[in-house]
Amino acid sequence: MNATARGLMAAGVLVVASGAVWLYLALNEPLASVGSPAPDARSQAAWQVDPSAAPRVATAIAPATTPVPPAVVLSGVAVHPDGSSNLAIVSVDRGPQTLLRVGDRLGSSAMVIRIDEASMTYRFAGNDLRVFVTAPSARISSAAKPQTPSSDQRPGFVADAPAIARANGSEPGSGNEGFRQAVERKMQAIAATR
Amino acid sequence: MTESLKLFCATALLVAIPISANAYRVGAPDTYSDLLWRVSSNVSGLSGCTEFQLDATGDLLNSTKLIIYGSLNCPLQQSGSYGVSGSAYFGGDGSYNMTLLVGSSTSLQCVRFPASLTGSCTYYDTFGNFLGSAFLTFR
Repeated sequence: MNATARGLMAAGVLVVASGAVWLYLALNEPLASVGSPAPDARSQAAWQVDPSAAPRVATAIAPATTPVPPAVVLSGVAVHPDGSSNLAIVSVDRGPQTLLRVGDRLGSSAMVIRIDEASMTYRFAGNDLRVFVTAPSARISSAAKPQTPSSDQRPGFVADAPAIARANGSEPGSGNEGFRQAVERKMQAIAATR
Repeated sequence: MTESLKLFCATALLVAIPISANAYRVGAPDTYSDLLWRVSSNVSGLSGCTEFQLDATGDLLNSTKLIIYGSLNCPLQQSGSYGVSGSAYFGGDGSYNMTLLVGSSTSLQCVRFPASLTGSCTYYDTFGNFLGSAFLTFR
């Protein structure tokens, strides 16, 4: 073997040996590479657990029981000249409309404390709540009786004009028998089809 | 168009008219006049009213509904009256049910009257508030 061949062989052995050493070092290298900056105490990998951190426990906090005010719809307001007898037309919790004055109760837990031309204020659970009316307010005269119609009549009464029998002299009630027979026939027809 | 074809079309039209009329239930309503219900009530403003003078119109052959109209006479109360309008229908159970508007602000509800057309009814105001009861007698 000449010198050239021997030199080449030696170089090859060196290359192989270097590769083996490199491979060995690569497989056994520690996580922190040489020359990396010192780990910052304040920043940590997300998957690392900080043993000093207090455990966080999710606790269910029951919400405080909050009373729910009634659903109030103010349909209208009637304002008295003296301001002391104002009326509000109110529907509570989708119930029928009622007339209310200051001092009246709304449902079981609220009370009317003020009625003005455009709104009504009521107190619920220590809070004053105000609702507004969309319809224009009606003014009533001081002589009118806003709440109860007079005992003699209701709206629509026509005085001194009672209905009379037909002009040809037939009497009220003369048609009863014919109508009753028609009604009976109809009821029988309905019963027959049931 | 031939004469025979014209005749055929005219005949077909004459036949079709009553058939289509039956399909749409064209009927003639009857009016039952001079109906009288005696009434007694303790409702304020209505306690002096003693009789409903009404007419009823409807086609009971082809329908189960009637319109009713007339007055509520109040001889004990300024000798006046209230205008009345409303309707009645026969329910599926064969009952007679009547709703009347009395004057401008009062409604009368009569539910499930028998064939005698006599029974208790209820007065309400236009807010739906209960005003009182009434007893109607149909003689």
